[in-house]
Amino acid sequence: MNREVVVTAVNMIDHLAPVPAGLAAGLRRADDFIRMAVTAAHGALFGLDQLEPERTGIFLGTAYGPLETNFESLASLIDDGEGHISPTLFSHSVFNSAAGYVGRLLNLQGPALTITDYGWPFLAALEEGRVAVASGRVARAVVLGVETYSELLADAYCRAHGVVAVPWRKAAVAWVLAAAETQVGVRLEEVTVCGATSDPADCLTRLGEVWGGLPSSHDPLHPLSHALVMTEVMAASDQVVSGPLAWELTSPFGTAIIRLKVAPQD
Amino acid sequence: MTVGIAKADTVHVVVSGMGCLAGPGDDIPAIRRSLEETRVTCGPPPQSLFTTALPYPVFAANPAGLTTQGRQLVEAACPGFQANSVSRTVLFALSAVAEGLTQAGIDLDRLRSGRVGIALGTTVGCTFHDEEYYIAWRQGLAPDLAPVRSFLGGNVAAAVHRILGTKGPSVVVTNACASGTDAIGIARNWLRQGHCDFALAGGADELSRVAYNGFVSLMLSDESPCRPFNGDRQGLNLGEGAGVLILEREDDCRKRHGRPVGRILGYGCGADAYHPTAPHPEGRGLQNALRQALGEAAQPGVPALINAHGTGTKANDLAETTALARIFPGKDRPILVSTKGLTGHTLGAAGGIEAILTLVALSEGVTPGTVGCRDPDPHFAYSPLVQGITRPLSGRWGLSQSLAFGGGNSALVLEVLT
Repeated sequence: MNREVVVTAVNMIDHLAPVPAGLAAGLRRADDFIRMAVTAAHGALFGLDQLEPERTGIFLGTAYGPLETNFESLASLIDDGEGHISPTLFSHSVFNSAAGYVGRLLNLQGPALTITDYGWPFLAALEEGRVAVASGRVARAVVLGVETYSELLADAYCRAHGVVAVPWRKAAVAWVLAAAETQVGVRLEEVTVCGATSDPADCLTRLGEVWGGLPSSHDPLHPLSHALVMTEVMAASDQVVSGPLAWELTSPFGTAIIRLKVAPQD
Repeated sequence: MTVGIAKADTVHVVVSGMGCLAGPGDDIPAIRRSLEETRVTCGPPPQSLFTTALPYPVFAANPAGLTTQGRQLVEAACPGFQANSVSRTVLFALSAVAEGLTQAGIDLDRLRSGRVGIALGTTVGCTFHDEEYYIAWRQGLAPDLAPVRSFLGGNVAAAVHRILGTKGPSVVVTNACASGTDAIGIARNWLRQGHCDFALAGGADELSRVAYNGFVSLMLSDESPCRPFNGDRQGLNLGEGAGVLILEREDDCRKRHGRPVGRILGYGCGADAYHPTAPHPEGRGLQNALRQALGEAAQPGVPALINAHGTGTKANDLAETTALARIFPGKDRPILVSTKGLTGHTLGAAGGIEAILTLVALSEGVTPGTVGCRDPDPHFAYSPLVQGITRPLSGRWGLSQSLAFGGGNSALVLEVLT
């Protein structure tokens, strides 16, 4: 099976985004990482046709995952003692807890993959979602990029680089992919990410990261910047002249190519 | 090279090498011997890792992290490499890669000449658990940044690329206990898509005090050696280690006169959408994953062997056997075993280790029963092979499956070629 894949909806939120009313009870114990993943996915899927739950997959990319909850979990162990670590904190500190919540609260029963990559985690997830739709394994893919970072990491960054503030911001993006034969949208033709050997700190500082074909980021670069800017472009795709789009990202830690095609307006 | 999806569906991906270390041993022959001899190696956590007053045993692997083969590979690939600059998870992964590359007959020059995809699952390996640093930071001090640098350098797939000097796609799959299985499925897809020429795929994970206590708090740990599928099972024992498959397109492998040991026939993945930590009682997501994987494999009959997730927790073993009974309702059912009574639950490494043990059993044409299971739970709709019984396998293909926190489930259909 070789199906062309389109992006049918996108959404982008920050950590101040309100939780949809119907999801508040299900998210009352959730941390920011889970809450933003669910809220972003819900917003992207809102208004789309219902599909069979077991044919909708979740593909979540993150650089640092629920790191803040990781530390709260560690604090619980230190403060509460052996055998008394908070079960909720511990289970939420597991990286795929957010994908689990998305699946449970939005009733999505297809593949659920969480991918961790310090370079361009959203693109890594996007490619897995694209292949799943193209091959017919799923009818729809919800691709998420989520970052919450952490105070500890921010302190380390500031001390290592002699700065007083970090450029990171907590945010989440969600794209919905489907087969072109069933849905309309911008065609997603290629996503290729290739890593290169580099200093691990390069992925945090983003020094040397250059984007071709994309507008500049509003903020200094961080591991979610590419996803935020790409989502802005996609959200405004009805204003883009039809034709091919190519985004090329280069950096010391690798290269990435994304090719899209905007269909002519009727 | 990028190939179309239609063509990709017809590309066969083979296993040309396998490497594994875990509590019972540093390589596949040692682990297999332990399984045959029912040599259970669990005990208190080594003091070199952490101390505890709690009574729950673990399956600790090689204390140094690097096996002899692993050290030789690293010394050749990265002269001057300092083992203490990376986590035990990375060292375990490198050790398994070394054994796998040796079996595959792929040296560093050949590896570096191609595009190498690295997809490795982990759970503990992606977390920051340096308590000394955290306590100092929490007190407002400015501790030395070495642990943070180690954390940043510890993305296991990126670290393996960096140390081996290879290039290509890489991801760390953090799907909790199903991570290793999903990593193999992702790498299989990369090869079919033409994203890489070789893939190193599986999982690696290390013991940590946080995970140890987390499972105790969730009341999922057993104070005794675990008893998967047994009627009086009380929970799991944590383990550590790595299992890595060397994957190639079959045509490429044969062109270089490699000798494939197995083939990835199918991969499936499904979510329970049910509960944050407990599996769906009927294994809903696992059933979906199995249908996908078996559908892709399109093999006649039933598999000769199912290597189950089989953790020894009440809920997992019930959900898993219930799901399997739905998928294989007839009388001619595949033999069902769990190998966690020997390795413990190695979390993100489990899928890699268990895929390898599945292929090894298929290759030998025989499987030992489930270590720790003497009296299977009478409430199960599907009975496992019990400890002390060894059965010949009637076919060349089998299943390896994983269930995870968050409701993730995944399955691989594997065929042996040797």
